[in-house]
Amino acid sequence: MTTIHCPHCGVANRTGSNFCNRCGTDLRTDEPISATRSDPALTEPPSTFDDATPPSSFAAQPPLPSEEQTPPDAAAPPEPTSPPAELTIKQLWLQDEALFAPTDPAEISEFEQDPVSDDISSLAGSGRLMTGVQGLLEPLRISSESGESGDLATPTRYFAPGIELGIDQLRRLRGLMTQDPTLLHAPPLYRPRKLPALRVPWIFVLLGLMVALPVFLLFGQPVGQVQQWPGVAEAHAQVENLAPDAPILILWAYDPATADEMDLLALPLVTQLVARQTKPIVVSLLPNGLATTRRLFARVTGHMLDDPSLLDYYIDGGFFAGGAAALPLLGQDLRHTLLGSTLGTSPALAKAVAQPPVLAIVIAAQAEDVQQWLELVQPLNQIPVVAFTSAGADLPLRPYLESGQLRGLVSGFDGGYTYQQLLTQPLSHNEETIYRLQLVFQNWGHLAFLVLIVLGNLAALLYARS
Amino acid sequence: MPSGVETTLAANLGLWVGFVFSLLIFSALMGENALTRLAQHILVGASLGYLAILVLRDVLQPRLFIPLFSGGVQANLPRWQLWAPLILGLLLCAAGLDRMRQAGKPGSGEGWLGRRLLHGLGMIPVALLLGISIAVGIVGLWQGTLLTQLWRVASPGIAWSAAPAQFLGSILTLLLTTATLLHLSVRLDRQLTNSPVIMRSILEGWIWLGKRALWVAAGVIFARLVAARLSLLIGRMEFFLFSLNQTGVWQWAETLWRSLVQ
Repeated sequence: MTTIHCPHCGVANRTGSNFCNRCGTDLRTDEPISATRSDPALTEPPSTFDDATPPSSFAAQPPLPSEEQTPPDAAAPPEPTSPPAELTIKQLWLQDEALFAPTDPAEISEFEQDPVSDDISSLAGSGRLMTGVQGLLEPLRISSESGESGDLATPTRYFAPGIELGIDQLRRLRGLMTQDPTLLHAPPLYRPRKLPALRVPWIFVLLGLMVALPVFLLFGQPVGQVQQWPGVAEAHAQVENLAPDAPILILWAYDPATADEMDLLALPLVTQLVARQTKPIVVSLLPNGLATTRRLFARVTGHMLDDPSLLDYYIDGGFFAGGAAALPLLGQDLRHTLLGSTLGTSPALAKAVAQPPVLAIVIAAQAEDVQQWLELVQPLNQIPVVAFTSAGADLPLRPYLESGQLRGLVSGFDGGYTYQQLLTQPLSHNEETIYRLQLVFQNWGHLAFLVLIVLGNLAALLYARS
Repeated sequence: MPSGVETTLAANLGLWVGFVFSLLIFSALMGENALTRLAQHILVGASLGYLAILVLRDVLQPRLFIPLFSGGVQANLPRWQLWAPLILGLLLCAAGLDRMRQAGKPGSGEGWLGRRLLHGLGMIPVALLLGISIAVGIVGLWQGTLLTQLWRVASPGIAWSAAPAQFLGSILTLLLTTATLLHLSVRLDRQLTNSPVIMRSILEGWIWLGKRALWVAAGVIFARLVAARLSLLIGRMEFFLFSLNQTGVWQWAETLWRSLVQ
């Protein structure tokens, strides 16, 4: 394979290459240029210098010896000892220092007296300051006065012909030379506008205002149509078809932290259980779970919280310590697990666990609690399971309803409302009002969310266009 | 509905404590402040204290201490089965307390032989807890979710004689499930670079569908989550507007406010 050598760095490149693989020098004009030292490019300031370059340095150049001897004949071959003509034309800073070195004593004194400017052009125009530029891809080396190696590690001051540079100035110069070129004081071509800052608390405040709006304005609308989710009627039928003395096991997996939503779901269930005179065993993995149970049964039955007769409606199975890892015990041996305590074993509990439960109900704010029951307990005791969960847990639990592992699924305020509508003994007027207000508030809250989404998209669209 | 519960002083006090703490937590809307942090600390501290008392009263005392030290033994449980959890629990507590005491001190990882022995022994109950929890979780996941759900998806539920809606649902289930699995498991840019163009195009379309299915599912989950959180917010507002209205203090405050305004 034939190669051509880069006139700049000497690296062999494939024939026909447009640019040098190493330094990027344009190789397309590799024909010998017939320009001579009398070429105007040599006598005029190079185009790579900007307007700030002092023209005096060029104007003051003494005529080169070769210039005097070379006739202005363009066809004359270049001298073998002189550098290639194209090199001298394009990369003037690589020429001999004498080319730009000031010779006029006045100029020399001017350079010595003037403080070194940050402007590169003045430095470049003053003479050859840098050696070994060697293309843009190589690190820049700045020569010292003695012209050797450019080792920047030890010396503290560097000298150029006719000028003295401090180490900080040299560092700055090197930084400027290695950065991308920029136009000073030029406006940027494109400056994207900033999107207005999103204040998350404002969203909450807006939501709160929108939800509170129907209260202050006494709006009772819109109630809308409640979504009829699959699984609600099946759950109701499972409880409705139970015999009055049928043992039921309830895992109460929510506490006051989520009671504002979960009470809406548990309330119709508890109402139904009380109406059917069942006596479920309630266990909880949460410390505050059974306190919530007690409060809700008291709310439905109208008893005081500390009334012992409240336990006529359900059996306190106790706080079940151990977390999910202990759940399989409930599926393996419910009787032994619940009666293991030497204290507080009530006769009602002993009687209730004498026979295995016929239905398990999980009331949980999170889908994980229902999943753990279906994974750790239900495969062991094969008891049908009905779940009452928050709206957020609905979608992860739908596949279990489809696969038959769940016999019923009631989720969210709409599920609770639908379940409540199925009761033969409807709730009181107050409870009915609460459900209705929930629907109205939810609709207003959803409207707030829609407004937020539309406004956010509009803002993004408008700012993207601008 | 009888409202005897709400008329008691304790119930009223509870309502007002709830009201004050709700306001303290809601003050986080104005930025992080000391009131919010105070409410959080009180809630966490009270919850942990309640849990400790509950575990002591309902678990340790009836199931461990009384059977061991009062002569009573749980049915079907030999005595060593009660000593084992007690010793393991004490080891865990001792090692944990020593680590807490040494935390932050220079060279806390070193120490005399007894300390290192204590830390080593303290790892036994930790290993038991972690190992049992993970093992139970994996077995449960396999038997309760993976097997049943995979069987549900892979079961021959596509019958040509089925109703159009059911048939379409089965096809969609199969399509979206496989597309989602493909999206999660196949990297086109790495694994199928040498595949034929047609095969690559089909897979690209399939994976595109799986990606969209995941996005739709995430959107639905988020929407339901929003509904759940809205319910919580509405519940709090109902508490403010209706529950407090039934207390005598609220009516007293309302009367006072009206007299001040007039």
